[in-house]
Amino acid sequence: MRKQIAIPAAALALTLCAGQVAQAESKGYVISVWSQAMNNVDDSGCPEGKSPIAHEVFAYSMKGLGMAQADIERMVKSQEFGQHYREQASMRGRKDGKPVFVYKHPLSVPEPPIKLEQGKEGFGFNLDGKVGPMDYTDPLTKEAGVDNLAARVFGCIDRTRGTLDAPVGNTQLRWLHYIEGNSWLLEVDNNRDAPLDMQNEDNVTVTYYRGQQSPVLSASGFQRNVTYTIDPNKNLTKATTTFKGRIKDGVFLSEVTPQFKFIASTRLQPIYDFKQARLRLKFQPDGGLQGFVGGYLPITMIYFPFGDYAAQGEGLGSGDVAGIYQALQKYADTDIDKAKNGKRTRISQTWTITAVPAFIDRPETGGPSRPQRAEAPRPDRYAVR
Amino acid sequence: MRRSQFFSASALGLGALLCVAAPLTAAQAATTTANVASDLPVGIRTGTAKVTSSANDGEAETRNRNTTSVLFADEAGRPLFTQAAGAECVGACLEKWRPAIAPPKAVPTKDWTLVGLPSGGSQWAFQGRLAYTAADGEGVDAPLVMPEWNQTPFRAPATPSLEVRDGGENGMRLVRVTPKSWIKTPYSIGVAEYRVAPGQVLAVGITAANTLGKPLYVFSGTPEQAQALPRAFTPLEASGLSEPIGDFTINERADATRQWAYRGGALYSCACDVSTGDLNGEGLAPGMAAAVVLRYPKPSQVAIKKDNLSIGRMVDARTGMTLYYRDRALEQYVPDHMRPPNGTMDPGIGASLGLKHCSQSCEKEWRPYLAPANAEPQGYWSIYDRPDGKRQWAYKNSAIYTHANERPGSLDGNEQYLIQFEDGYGNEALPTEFGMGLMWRALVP
Repeated sequence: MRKQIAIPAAALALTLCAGQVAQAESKGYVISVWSQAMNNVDDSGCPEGKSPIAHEVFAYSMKGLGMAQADIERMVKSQEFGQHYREQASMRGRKDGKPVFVYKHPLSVPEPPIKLEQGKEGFGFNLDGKVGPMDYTDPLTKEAGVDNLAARVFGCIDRTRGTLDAPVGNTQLRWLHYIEGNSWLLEVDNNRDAPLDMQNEDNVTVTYYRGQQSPVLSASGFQRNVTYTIDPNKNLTKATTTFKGRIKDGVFLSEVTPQFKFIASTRLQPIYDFKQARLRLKFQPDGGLQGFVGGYLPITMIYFPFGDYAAQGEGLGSGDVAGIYQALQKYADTDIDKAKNGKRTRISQTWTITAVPAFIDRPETGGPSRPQRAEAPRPDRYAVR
Repeated sequence: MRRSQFFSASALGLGALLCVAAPLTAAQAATTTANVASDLPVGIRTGTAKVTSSANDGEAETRNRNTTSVLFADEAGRPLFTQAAGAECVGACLEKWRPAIAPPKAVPTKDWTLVGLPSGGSQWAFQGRLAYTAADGEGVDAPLVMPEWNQTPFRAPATPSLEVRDGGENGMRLVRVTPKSWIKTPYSIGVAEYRVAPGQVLAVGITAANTLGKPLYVFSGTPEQAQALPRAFTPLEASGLSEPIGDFTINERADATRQWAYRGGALYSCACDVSTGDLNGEGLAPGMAAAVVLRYPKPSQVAIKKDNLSIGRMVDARTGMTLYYRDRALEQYVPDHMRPPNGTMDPGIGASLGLKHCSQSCEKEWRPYLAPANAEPQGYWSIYDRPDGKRQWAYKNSAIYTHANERPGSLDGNEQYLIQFEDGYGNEALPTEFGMGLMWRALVP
């Protein structure tokens, strides 16, 4: 009698155990670094030198407006140069012969001498499927035809140069989101009732959410495994925020996503609006991720923080802001959303993403929709950015 | 209470506490308004001024020598002053002070009454004290600016500021919109501005770090309704040593505890108020209403809709369409849930912007929110006269619009940027004070 009972019991136990193994899961992250993807490892990409900085901008602008050289030199050398700059350089634009605030009239000055970055390698994606003379080769994937024209415009401006390990420090191009009071979240999901394989997985989605809390910082960087709640204000994300793709050898690569648009910050771009967007994420051994998102972005949005910071930004090394705008327009490389007057309005740009593990809560359910895995074992080094 | 009644009441209370109580019907809600609020009558406005005070005016509220204060003013924006109760300005006093004349259609309220003048017409009186305006030009023609203006020089021109000297001759004192200064409250109870009320509400737990505290509710229903109050409402207890003060009295409850009451209505707090600025207890029980001591007027065609962000949005009462205004594209973007209780509206920007920079084609997408011909400006609400002869509502000087083709209650138009500079695509630049652009935002109280 006991044997007959024991066997079904064992079978039942095995059945229960087997049911516990097959569990769906997702993995959450909070973005710790969001910066324009630049690859300025040395100065070889600027053989003609760097783009002008404030005192040079002042000099050629005032000279062009007829100021005497002696006066220019006196003002540049004076301790009140900042004040001279704000008063004179801000109004260096000319419209119908009258001075105008150049940052709101960036086309009102003769084409400033912005020097394009001429390196061969740059991060991003081949958005148009072609290989052209202005394209890069991605140093990581070795993909040719990478479209990242914005990097060429910014690549010889001191303030906007950077590398993968030392991202651009200009607050106009690097998001100090802990000031803004919200967080940017990514959720990786394999859309099936099985554990998420971070090495190889088909039918994967990566969804961007806005979190309500500021990212938690510690002495070693962004705190891992903090819980963030998705902001219920769905209007913050203006268009599709889910990338579909697959994970291969530890790298997620998305399909072309028609539009990835979300409200951000006037410090960076008021609204990020990627068209023909691509996302590539590499899952790191320490549990975090690093990757890139690229697409065609509106020139006016890219320019916004430069125009907004105006003379202050130029003084801090942004160079000739009007020149930046003119260069962005001149080298715009897509006909998507052309203006009524035929001018191109978008340019290719790539942004780099670094993220640390996080848990994501839904406000309506009070918890995650799918179980989320705790972080993988990490090495001794804590510092993550 | 019999055992069966106790259990049924407890069950009801527990159920109400656990479940979100259904809002009252309109008929039920109509009976909940407690008679504690001071309404702002037509002809009385509020505004902000820099006030230079005399060193020690003897009132409880501590003031710096130069402060920004919200004041009551007459229709023309002239700040109002009052003397001590029972005093009257006569003779030489009238050379410096003019009686604050009420408009012919003025209707008195609890705090604002009308006193007939020998020459005809009526003079305002505030809480029994005759109101005056200064005859020496301390009033200005420019509209008063609303609280919390931003005077960053680069962003906006210096807003016209009214500077007023308080503690003037003949014992005149400004009538400040700080109920705390003219309502005597127990130590633990304060007054705070609750945007969703809209108005100033009694609250507890007000500190420097938490300027809103937790709001209070006043119950003025029947004993039967009191028995059926959801357990989310907690009586505001008065300590054994507390004494009545001003309009605050103490009720002895059946369970031998003591409860504060204001103007006859017992005071409660609500467990439903969790986040700063919440006022979720309104409409949850018959006889219970927010303890609004100064209700800000709003047009009857405007309703406040609370949402899960707990800050409330203003909508058209009839259609439910969200109301919008144009804000500056701020350097530091603040998500709705992080916005400070006083919002980010800049009345100086609103006044500078007026109806400009929304052309005919703009108005096809953003429809002006029109005021009826007989509408009157009041409180934070003013009216712009449009070039087409119609009148458009403005809130804190910002012109109000609705978003065309938007479902009622949706927020499709929220946080849409108007990046506007001379960009080579046919757009014109905005004036310097508006920075690089504007942003459409849903209107919050």
